Amino acid sequence: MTLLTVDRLSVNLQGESGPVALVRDVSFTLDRRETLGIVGESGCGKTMTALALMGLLPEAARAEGRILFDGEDLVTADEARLCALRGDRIAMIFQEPMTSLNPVHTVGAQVAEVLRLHRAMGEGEALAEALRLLDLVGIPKARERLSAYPHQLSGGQRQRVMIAAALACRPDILLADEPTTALDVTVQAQILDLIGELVREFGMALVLITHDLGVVGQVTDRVIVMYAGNVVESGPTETIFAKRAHPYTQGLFAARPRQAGRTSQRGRLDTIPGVVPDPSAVIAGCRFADRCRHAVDICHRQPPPLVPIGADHDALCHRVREWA
Amino acid sequence: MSAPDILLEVTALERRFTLPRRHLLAAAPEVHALNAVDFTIARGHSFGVVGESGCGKSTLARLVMALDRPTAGSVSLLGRNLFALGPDELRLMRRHFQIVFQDPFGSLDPRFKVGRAIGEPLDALEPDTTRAERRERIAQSLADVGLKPADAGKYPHEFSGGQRQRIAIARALIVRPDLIVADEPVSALDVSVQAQVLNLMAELQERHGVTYMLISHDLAVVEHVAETIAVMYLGRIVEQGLAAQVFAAPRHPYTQALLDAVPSLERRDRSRRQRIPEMGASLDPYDPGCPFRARCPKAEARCAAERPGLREVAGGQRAACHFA
Repeated sequence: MTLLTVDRLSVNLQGESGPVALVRDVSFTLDRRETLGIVGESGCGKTMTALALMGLLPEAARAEGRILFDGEDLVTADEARLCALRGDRIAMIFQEPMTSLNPVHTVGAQVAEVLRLHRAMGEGEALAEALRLLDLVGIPKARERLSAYPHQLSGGQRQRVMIAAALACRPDILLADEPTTALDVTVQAQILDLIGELVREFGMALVLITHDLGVVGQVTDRVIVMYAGNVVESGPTETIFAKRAHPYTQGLFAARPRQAGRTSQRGRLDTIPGVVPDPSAVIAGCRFADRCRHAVDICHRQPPPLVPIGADHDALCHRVREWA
Repeated sequence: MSAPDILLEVTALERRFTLPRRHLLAAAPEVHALNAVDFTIARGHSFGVVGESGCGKSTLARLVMALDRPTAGSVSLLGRNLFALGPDELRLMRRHFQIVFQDPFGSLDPRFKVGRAIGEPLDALEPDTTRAERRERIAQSLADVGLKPADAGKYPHEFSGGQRQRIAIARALIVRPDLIVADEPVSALDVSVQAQVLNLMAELQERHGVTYMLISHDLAVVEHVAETIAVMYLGRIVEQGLAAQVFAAPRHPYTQALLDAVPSLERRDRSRRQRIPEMGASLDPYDPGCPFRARCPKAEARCAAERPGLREVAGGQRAACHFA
């Protein structure tokens, strides 16, 4: 059952010399209980896409297209309506748990705040529920921790607190923007396990934004790969890992130092030459063409079509049919 | 390995920090940031230091760079103990070792043109350089890292993150050092750019015979770059040896846990892995037991009573565990 339909979403930033597109024509759907990964490098538009879903875009940015959530278009929804949805039916966790928690309030109060706002609970009731949530996300001695301040917790524990606050109202969608990037690898493993378990248990849909292909592989059912504001490839995670079609996806995978087989391999890594184009650059053809080793004349002249290459597997490329 | 091959020798290195007293008459508590660290790096090779936050890897880098003094032990470069040198001698030695930091945005002064930033080590360490030679060396250094001589006249903000990291490497190279300490050199970079910088480092090693001490939390990066590695936990080396060997057959439970925590597609369907708990590390410097025991799946009574020393567990591979 489709919970969320993003239909030709674009995000434009009002620049001095006209609008600059940060997200271009992004479309995807999300079902209940589905986990979707959005992967890409800095500036590809993955965070802007998430912020658009939450109605949290910066002032100078404007969303176009449609974001249908349970039949309601979030692009045209007013701020009061978005406030009611945010934290209640759509919740978000961010990369840096230290800056997203308020340092002058106890963690108990911050988790309880969500319930007091959205569920109109009294203080005692909200704190009791906060205690239950902290316990659920695996914070040891949760009762003592209710009155702790964020600086008294480790990075992993703070991220658990963020997750507890995000889950307080049992949202339909959890957006996680690089939730484990700031954490050590052993802690990351625990947090990913926790998110996976909670998504299954609560029946939420998860949108996980990350630059880490390993995280995408471990956690998500489907993945969309973004480059310079466009979705360049989308499909089931296992399909894409087995058969990456778009030259950018191929380059991204090849550039990783691998641990495959756990054998040491010297030598060079494959690289993607060049840099991401400036979002304000006017490019007639494919935005990846300048860095693409398959690029031919047409790639520089015409925007590429979205080509279906398998069950639920598409790539934005003129030539993809030649190899996929 | 015969003795003349050894460029850097770290012996029984120890660093304690004194914390503020809890109250007037209390003893000042101490943190042992580094304990009994021993290793050597052969000329022209790469040595990797892996570990999570707080393991002491950055303290180690500061000591190797002689930016801090150890509580005990020595760091010898080219056979000379850096901490036995007078200030002038140390200054002369500094041209043999340079550092590249993690953050290419924070490590370049935004008000200095790139040429000035790159020339600075030359001004400090080889003040007799003529202006013409200085200009020549800056151009050579820029060429070495794949930038143009004309880039010397630009400001850091005109470059991308990957290019800035190249500038930082050019700055380290200009005095033609024997050793470059690279503290998380690619952690702030996107995957495709990270591959470019790692390739550049390998190229420079081949061309100039640079020796690297690479510090990273990213196991794949360390495995790709380093021939020999040390895994650190709470200020001690818990496992060391050839990278290929340690990654293929880790013997210390902490190394095993680290490798197991790396997310990947292959591991998604495995039954829930054994996770090591986040907290519970013993920080008491006078604790007689193994510092890892509270998180260790193999811990027994013996681990609380007796701290395991590093011992040979396979040809050239050493681990600090009673059960390795």
